[in-house]
Amino acid sequence: MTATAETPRRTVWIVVPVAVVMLLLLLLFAIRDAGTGSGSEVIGKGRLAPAIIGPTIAGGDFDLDDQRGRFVVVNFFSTTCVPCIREHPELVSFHEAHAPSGFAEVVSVAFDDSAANVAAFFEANGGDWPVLASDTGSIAVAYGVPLVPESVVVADNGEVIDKLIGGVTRSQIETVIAAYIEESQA
Amino acid sequence: MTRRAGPPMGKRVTRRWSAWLGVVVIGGSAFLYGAVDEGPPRTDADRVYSLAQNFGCPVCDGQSVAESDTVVARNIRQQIARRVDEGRSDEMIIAELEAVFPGNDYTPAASGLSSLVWILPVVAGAGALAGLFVVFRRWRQEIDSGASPADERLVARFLRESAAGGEGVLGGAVDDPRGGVVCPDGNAQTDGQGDVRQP
Repeated sequence: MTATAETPRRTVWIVVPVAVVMLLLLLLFAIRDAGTGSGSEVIGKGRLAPAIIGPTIAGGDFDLDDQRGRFVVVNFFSTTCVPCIREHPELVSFHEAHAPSGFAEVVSVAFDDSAANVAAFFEANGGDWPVLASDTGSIAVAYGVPLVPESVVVADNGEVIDKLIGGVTRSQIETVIAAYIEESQA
Repeated sequence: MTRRAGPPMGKRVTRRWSAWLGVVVIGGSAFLYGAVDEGPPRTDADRVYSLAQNFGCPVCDGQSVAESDTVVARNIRQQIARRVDEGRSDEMIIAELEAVFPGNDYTPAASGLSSLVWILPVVAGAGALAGLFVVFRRWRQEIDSGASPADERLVARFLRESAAGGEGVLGGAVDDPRGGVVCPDGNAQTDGQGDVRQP
Protein backbone atom coordinates (compact mmCIF):
# COMPACT_ATOMS: atom_id res chain seq x y z
CA MET A 1 0.00 0.00 0.00
CA THR A 2 1.44 3.44 -0.88
CA ALA A 3 1.70 6.42 1.47
CA THR A 4 -0.68 8.46 -0.67
CA ALA A 5 -3.40 5.83 -0.45
CA GLU A 6 -2.91 5.53 3.30
CA THR A 7 -3.31 9.23 4.02
CA PRO A 8 -7.04 9.65 3.28
CA ARG A 9 -7.75 6.53 5.31
CA ARG A 10 -5.86 7.93 8.29
CA THR A 11 -7.74 11.21 7.95
CA VAL A 12 -11.00 9.30 7.97
CA TRP A 13 -9.94 7.43 11.11
CA ILE A 14 -9.42 10.77 12.83
CA VAL A 15 -12.29 12.79 11.41
CA VAL A 16 -14.98 10.15 11.94
CA PRO A 17 -14.40 9.69 15.71
CA VAL A 18 -14.23 13.47 16.18
CA ALA A 19 -17.52 13.84 14.28
CA VAL A 20 -19.13 11.09 16.36
CA VAL A 21 -18.00 12.72 19.62
CA MET A 22 -19.32 16.09 18.43
CA LEU A 23 -22.67 14.55 17.52
CA LEU A 24 -22.92 12.85 20.91
CA LEU A 25 -22.10 16.15 22.60
CA LEU A 26 -24.78 17.88 20.53
CA LEU A 27 -27.30 15.21 21.46
CA LEU A 28 -26.37 15.51 25.13
CA PHE A 29 -26.87 19.27 25.12
CA ALA A 30 -30.08 19.04 23.12
CA ILE A 31 -31.80 16.60 25.47
CA ARG A 32 -30.38 17.97 28.71
CA ASP A 33 -33.01 19.55 30.88
CA ALA A 34 -32.21 22.97 32.33
CA GLY A 35 -31.94 22.97 36.12
CA THR A 36 -35.02 24.13 37.95
CA GLY A 37 -35.54 25.28 41.46
CA SER A 38 -38.13 24.34 44.00
CA GLY A 39 -40.75 26.60 42.42
CA SER A 40 -42.70 26.52 45.68
CA GLU A 41 -43.35 30.23 45.63
CA VAL A 42 -44.76 30.49 42.15
CA ILE A 43 -47.69 32.85 41.97
CA GLY A 44 -50.40 31.37 39.82
CA LYS A 45 -54.01 30.30 39.81
CA GLY A 46 -54.61 27.24 41.97
CA ARG A 47 -51.29 27.50 43.78
CA LEU A 48 -50.91 28.30 47.43
CA ALA A 49 -50.51 32.05 47.93
CA PRO A 50 -47.02 33.09 49.06
CA ALA A 51 -46.72 33.92 52.74
CA ILE A 52 -47.42 37.42 53.95
CA ILE A 53 -46.13 37.97 57.45
CA GLY A 54 -45.20 41.31 58.96
CA PRO A 55 -46.07 44.29 61.12
CA THR A 56 -48.97 46.52 60.16
CA ILE A 57 -48.91 50.30 60.29
CA ALA A 58 -51.43 50.08 63.16
CA GLY A 59 -48.85 48.29 65.28
CA GLY A 60 -50.23 44.75 64.98
CA ASP A 61 -48.93 41.67 63.20
CA PHE A 62 -50.40 40.12 60.09
CA ASP A 63 -50.11 36.56 58.85
CA LEU A 64 -51.98 35.49 55.73
CA ASP A 65 -52.32 31.97 57.13
CA ASP A 66 -54.49 33.35 59.95
CA GLN A 67 -57.06 34.36 57.33
CA ARG A 68 -57.93 30.79 56.30
CA GLY A 69 -61.68 30.39 56.07
CA ARG A 70 -62.27 33.74 54.41
CA PHE A 71 -61.43 35.23 51.04
CA VAL A 72 -58.59 37.75 51.01
CA VAL A 73 -57.84 40.54 48.58
CA VAL A 74 -54.12 41.28 48.66
CA ASN A 75 -53.79 44.79 47.25
CA PHE A 76 -50.40 46.19 46.18
CA PHE A 77 -50.50 49.96 46.01
CA SER A 78 -48.61 53.20 46.37
CA THR A 79 -49.88 56.50 47.75
CA THR A 80 -48.42 58.35 44.76
CA CYS A 81 -50.03 56.15 42.11
CA VAL A 82 -53.15 57.67 40.56
CA PRO A 83 -54.93 54.37 39.67
CA CYS A 84 -54.30 53.24 43.26
CA ILE A 85 -56.00 56.38 44.58
CA ARG A 86 -58.90 55.81 42.17
CA GLU A 87 -59.46 52.19 43.18
CA HIS A 88 -59.27 52.85 46.91
CA PRO A 89 -62.99 53.69 47.38
CA GLU A 90 -63.87 50.41 45.63
CA LEU A 91 -61.78 48.49 48.13
CA VAL A 92 -63.38 50.38 51.00
CA SER A 93 -66.80 49.50 49.63
CA PHE A 94 -65.87 45.81 49.21
CA HIS A 95 -64.43 45.67 52.73
CA GLU A 96 -67.48 47.30 54.34
CA ALA A 97 -69.76 44.85 52.55
CA HIS A 98 -67.93 41.59 53.27
CA ALA A 99 -65.52 41.98 56.21
CA PRO A 100 -68.07 42.30 59.06
CA SER A 101 -69.58 38.91 58.21
CA GLY A 102 -66.13 37.31 58.02
CA PHE A 103 -66.65 36.40 54.37
CA ALA A 104 -63.66 38.38 53.07
CA GLU A 105 -60.77 40.55 54.16
CA VAL A 106 -58.52 43.07 52.48
CA VAL A 107 -54.82 43.49 53.15
CA SER A 108 -52.80 46.28 51.57
CA VAL A 109 -49.10 45.99 50.83
CA ALA A 110 -47.31 49.27 50.17
CA PHE A 111 -45.01 49.33 47.16
CA ASP A 112 -41.92 51.46 47.81
CA ASP A 113 -43.68 53.84 50.16
CA SER A 114 -43.05 55.07 53.68
CA ALA A 115 -45.17 53.99 56.63
CA ALA A 116 -45.87 57.64 57.44
CA ASN A 117 -47.20 58.37 53.94
CA VAL A 118 -49.32 55.22 53.99
CA ALA A 119 -50.78 56.04 57.40
CA ALA A 120 -51.66 59.54 56.22
CA PHE A 121 -53.23 58.12 53.07
CA PHE A 122 -55.53 55.78 55.03
CA GLU A 123 -56.37 58.54 57.47
CA ALA A 124 -57.51 60.71 54.59
CA ASN A 125 -59.20 58.09 52.38
CA GLY A 126 -60.60 55.57 54.84
CA GLY A 127 -60.11 51.86 54.99
CA ASP A 128 -59.93 49.78 58.14
CA TRP A 129 -57.90 46.73 57.28
CA PRO A 130 -54.33 45.52 57.82
CA VAL A 131 -51.72 47.51 55.93
CA LEU A 132 -48.08 46.46 55.61
CA ALA A 133 -45.57 49.14 54.73
CA SER A 134 -42.14 48.02 55.89
CA ASP A 135 -39.86 45.49 54.12
CA THR A 136 -42.54 44.70 51.57
CA GLY A 137 -40.17 44.24 48.62
CA SER A 138 -39.89 40.48 49.12
CA ILE A 139 -43.70 40.15 49.22
CA ALA A 140 -43.99 42.07 45.95
CA VAL A 141 -41.38 39.83 44.31
CA ALA A 142 -43.02 36.65 45.66
CA TYR A 143 -46.32 37.77 44.12
CA GLY A 144 -44.59 38.86 40.88
CA VAL A 145 -45.65 42.49 41.14
CA PRO A 146 -43.66 44.78 38.85
CA LEU A 147 -45.99 47.79 38.96
CA VAL A 148 -48.98 48.93 41.00
CA PRO A 149 -51.87 48.68 41.43
CA GLU A 150 -52.23 44.92 41.37
CA SER A 151 -54.53 42.75 43.45
CA VAL A 152 -54.42 39.03 44.12
CA VAL A 153 -57.61 37.30 45.21
CA VAL A 154 -56.91 34.44 47.61
CA ALA A 155 -59.49 31.75 48.33
CA ASP A 156 -60.63 30.66 51.79
CA ASN A 157 -58.32 27.62 51.50
CA GLY A 158 -55.27 29.78 50.81
CA GLU A 159 -54.92 29.19 47.07
CA VAL A 160 -54.67 31.95 44.49
CA ILE A 161 -57.90 32.51 42.54
CA ASP A 162 -56.82 35.33 40.26
CA LYS A 163 -54.37 38.17 39.81
CA LEU A 164 -55.96 41.44 38.75
CA ILE A 165 -53.59 43.87 37.07
CA GLY A 166 -54.48 47.56 37.28
CA GLY A 167 -57.17 49.24 39.33
CA VAL A 168 -60.00 47.01 40.57
CA THR A 169 -63.67 47.59 41.33
CA ARG A 170 -65.82 46.01 44.01
CA SER A 171 -67.97 44.23 41.42
CA GLN A 172 -64.89 42.87 39.68
CA ILE A 173 -63.64 41.26 42.87
CA GLU A 174 -67.09 39.90 43.71
CA THR A 175 -67.39 38.39 40.22
CA VAL A 176 -64.04 36.61 40.58
CA ILE A 177 -65.02 35.17 43.97
CA ALA A 178 -68.50 34.15 42.77
CA ALA A 179 -67.04 32.36 39.75
CA TYR A 180 -64.61 30.49 42.01
CA ILE A 181 -67.38 29.42 44.39
CA GLU A 182 -69.55 28.28 41.50
CA GLU A 183 -66.69 26.33 39.95
CA SER A 184 -65.73 24.63 43.19
CA GLN A 185 -69.32 23.61 43.88
CA ALA A 186 -69.82 22.15 40.40
CA MET B 1 32.32 13.87 0.98
CA THR B 2 29.45 11.90 2.37
CA ARG B 3 25.99 13.04 3.47
CA ARG B 4 24.38 11.68 6.55
CA ALA B 5 21.03 10.14 5.72
CA GLY B 6 17.96 11.24 7.78
CA PRO B 7 16.20 8.99 10.28
CA PRO B 8 14.47 5.95 8.87
CA MET B 9 10.88 6.26 7.68
CA GLY B 10 9.44 4.39 10.72
CA LYS B 11 11.10 6.76 13.15
CA ARG B 12 9.91 9.78 11.23
CA VAL B 13 6.32 8.54 11.31
CA THR B 14 6.57 7.83 15.04
CA ARG B 15 7.96 11.31 15.66
CA ARG B 16 5.17 12.86 13.59
CA TRP B 17 2.50 10.97 15.50
CA SER B 18 4.14 11.86 18.79
CA ALA B 19 3.88 15.51 17.84
CA TRP B 20 0.19 15.12 17.03
CA LEU B 21 -0.37 13.22 20.26
CA GLY B 22 1.32 16.05 22.15
CA VAL B 23 -0.94 18.59 20.48
CA VAL B 24 -4.02 16.54 21.34
CA VAL B 25 -2.96 16.00 24.96
CA ILE B 26 -2.09 19.66 25.54
CA GLY B 27 -5.19 20.93 23.72
CA GLY B 28 -7.45 18.43 25.50
CA SER B 29 -6.00 19.30 28.88
CA ALA B 30 -6.48 23.02 28.24
CA PHE B 31 -10.06 22.41 27.10
CA LEU B 32 -10.82 20.25 30.14
CA TYR B 33 -9.27 22.78 32.51
CA GLY B 34 -11.27 25.59 30.94
CA ALA B 35 -14.49 23.56 31.17
CA VAL B 36 -14.06 22.30 34.72
CA ASP B 37 -12.21 25.11 36.48
CA GLU B 38 -14.54 27.64 38.10
CA GLY B 39 -11.87 30.23 38.66
CA PRO B 40 -11.24 31.89 41.98
CA PRO B 41 -14.05 31.60 44.55
CA ARG B 42 -16.70 34.29 44.06
CA THR B 43 -17.97 36.43 46.89
CA ASP B 44 -21.68 36.66 47.63
CA ALA B 45 -21.67 40.20 46.23
CA ASP B 46 -20.17 38.90 42.98
CA ARG B 47 -22.91 36.28 42.76
CA VAL B 48 -25.67 38.81 43.43
CA TYR B 49 -24.32 41.16 40.77
CA SER B 50 -23.84 38.35 38.25
CA LEU B 51 -27.38 37.04 38.80
CA ALA B 52 -28.82 40.56 38.59
CA GLN B 53 -26.97 41.09 35.31
CA ASN B 54 -28.49 37.93 33.88
CA PHE B 55 -32.07 38.80 34.75
CA GLY B 56 -34.03 41.41 32.84
CA CYS B 57 -35.96 44.18 34.54
CA PRO B 58 -39.66 43.26 33.98
CA VAL B 59 -40.75 46.85 33.28
CA CYS B 60 -37.69 48.23 31.48
CA ASP B 61 -36.64 48.18 27.87
CA GLY B 62 -33.49 46.10 27.52
CA GLN B 63 -32.06 46.78 30.96
CA SER B 64 -31.04 44.14 33.42
CA VAL B 65 -32.03 44.18 37.07
CA ALA B 66 -28.44 45.20 37.86
CA GLU B 67 -28.68 48.30 35.66
CA SER B 68 -32.21 49.47 36.35
CA ASP B 69 -33.21 51.65 39.27
CA THR B 70 -36.94 50.93 39.14
CA VAL B 71 -38.69 49.72 42.28
CA VAL B 72 -39.18 46.22 40.95
CA ALA B 73 -35.50 45.97 39.94
CA ARG B 74 -34.45 47.05 43.42
CA ASN B 75 -36.88 44.56 44.96
CA ILE B 76 -35.49 41.76 42.79
CA ARG B 77 -31.88 42.68 43.64
CA GLN B 78 -32.74 42.54 47.34
CA GLN B 79 -34.51 39.21 46.82
CA ILE B 80 -31.44 37.80 45.04
CA ALA B 81 -29.23 38.96 47.92
CA ARG B 82 -31.56 37.32 50.44
CA ARG B 83 -31.57 34.03 48.50
CA VAL B 84 -27.77 34.06 48.19
CA ASP B 85 -27.52 34.60 51.95
CA GLU B 86 -29.84 31.63 52.45
CA GLY B 87 -27.41 29.50 50.45
CA ARG B 88 -29.58 28.82 47.44
CA SER B 89 -27.93 27.91 44.16
CA ASP B 90 -27.87 30.28 41.17
CA GLU B 91 -30.19 27.96 39.25
CA MET B 92 -32.74 27.91 42.06
CA ILE B 93 -32.72 31.69 42.41
CA ILE B 94 -33.16 32.30 38.69
CA ALA B 95 -35.86 29.63 38.47
CA GLU B 96 -37.81 31.26 41.28
CA LEU B 97 -37.59 34.70 39.68
CA GLU B 98 -38.41 33.33 36.25
CA ALA B 99 -41.53 31.70 37.71
CA VAL B 100 -42.93 35.02 38.94
CA PHE B 101 -41.48 37.26 36.21
CA PRO B 102 -41.43 34.95 33.17
CA GLY B 103 -39.39 35.75 30.08
CA ASN B 104 -36.67 37.76 31.82
CA ASP B 105 -33.92 35.17 32.20
CA TYR B 106 -31.08 36.27 29.91
CA THR B 107 -29.21 32.97 30.24
CA PRO B 108 -29.81 30.89 27.11
CA ALA B 109 -31.44 27.56 27.88
CA ALA B 110 -29.26 24.46 27.65
CA SER B 111 -32.00 22.52 25.91
CA GLY B 112 -33.99 22.82 22.72
CA LEU B 113 -33.12 25.33 19.99
CA SER B 114 -31.46 27.75 22.44
CA SER B 115 -28.82 25.13 23.19
CA LEU B 116 -27.32 25.93 19.78
CA VAL B 117 -25.85 29.04 21.40
CA TRP B 118 -23.67 26.70 23.47
CA ILE B 119 -23.18 23.97 20.89
CA LEU B 120 -22.28 25.94 17.77
CA PRO B 121 -19.03 27.44 19.12
CA VAL B 122 -17.89 23.95 20.20
CA VAL B 123 -18.75 22.50 16.79
CA ALA B 124 -17.08 25.43 15.01
CA GLY B 125 -13.95 24.98 17.12
CA ALA B 126 -13.84 21.26 16.40
CA GLY B 127 -14.38 21.95 12.68
CA ALA B 128 -11.55 24.47 12.67
CA LEU B 129 -9.22 21.98 14.35
CA ALA B 130 -10.19 19.26 11.89
CA GLY B 131 -9.62 21.71 8.99
CA LEU B 132 -6.18 22.60 10.32
CA PHE B 133 -5.36 18.92 10.64
CA VAL B 134 -6.37 18.24 7.04
CA VAL B 135 -4.43 21.25 5.73
CA PHE B 136 -1.29 20.32 7.66
CA ARG B 137 -1.48 16.77 6.36
CA ARG B 138 -1.87 18.01 2.82
CA TRP B 139 1.16 20.27 3.19
CA ARG B 140 3.10 17.38 4.61
CA GLN B 141 2.11 15.23 1.61
CA GLU B 142 3.24 17.94 -0.80
CA ILE B 143 6.59 18.20 0.94
CA ASP B 144 6.97 14.43 1.01
CA SER B 145 6.11 14.08 -2.69
CA GLY B 146 9.19 16.16 -3.58
CA ALA B 147 11.46 13.21 -2.74
CA SER B 148 9.95 9.85 -3.43
CA PRO B 149 11.73 6.63 -2.44
CA ALA B 150 12.91 6.24 -6.05
CA ASP B 151 14.31 9.78 -6.00
CA GLU B 152 16.06 9.07 -2.74
CA ARG B 153 17.54 5.86 -4.13
CA LEU B 154 18.76 7.73 -7.18
CA VAL B 155 20.35 10.50 -5.13
CA ALA B 156 21.96 8.00 -2.78
CA ARG B 157 23.42 6.17 -5.78
CA PHE B 158 24.70 9.47 -7.19
CA LEU B 159 26.30 10.41 -3.91
CA ARG B 160 27.94 7.00 -3.59
CA GLU B 161 29.38 7.21 -7.08
CA SER B 162 30.46 10.85 -6.61
CA ALA B 163 32.28 9.87 -3.45
CA ALA B 164 33.93 7.06 -5.41
CA GLY B 165 35.30 9.69 -7.91
CA GLY B 166 33.07 9.01 -10.88
CA GLU B 167 30.79 11.43 -12.70
CA GLY B 168 27.82 9.71 -11.16
CA VAL B 169 24.71 8.25 -12.54
CA LEU B 170 23.11 11.67 -12.96
CA GLY B 171 26.15 13.17 -14.64
CA GLY B 172 25.02 16.81 -14.42
CA ALA B 173 21.38 16.09 -13.96
CA VAL B 174 19.05 19.06 -13.83
CA ASP B 175 15.82 19.59 -11.99
CA ASP B 176 12.78 19.09 -14.07
CA PRO B 177 10.24 21.88 -13.41
CA ARG B 178 7.51 19.20 -13.32
CA GLY B 179 8.99 17.97 -10.06
CA GLY B 180 11.32 15.20 -11.19
CA VAL B 181 14.95 14.93 -12.19
CA VAL B 182 16.10 14.45 -15.77
CA CYS B 183 19.46 12.93 -16.65
CA PRO B 184 21.15 14.58 -19.64
CA ASP B 185 22.20 11.27 -21.09
CA GLY B 186 18.56 10.28 -21.22
CA ASN B 187 19.10 7.05 -19.31
CA ALA B 188 16.76 7.73 -16.45
CA GLN B 189 14.38 10.27 -15.16
CA THR B 190 12.07 10.46 -12.20
CA ASP B 191 8.65 11.95 -12.22
CA GLY B 192 8.61 13.04 -8.61
CA GLN B 193 5.92 10.51 -7.77
CA GLY B 194 8.25 7.66 -6.96
CA ASP B 195 8.40 6.12 -10.42
CA VAL B 196 11.55 5.94 -12.54
CA ARG B 197 10.85 6.16 -16.21
CA GLN B 198 13.09 5.13 -19.07
CA PRO B 199 12.68 7.27 -22.17
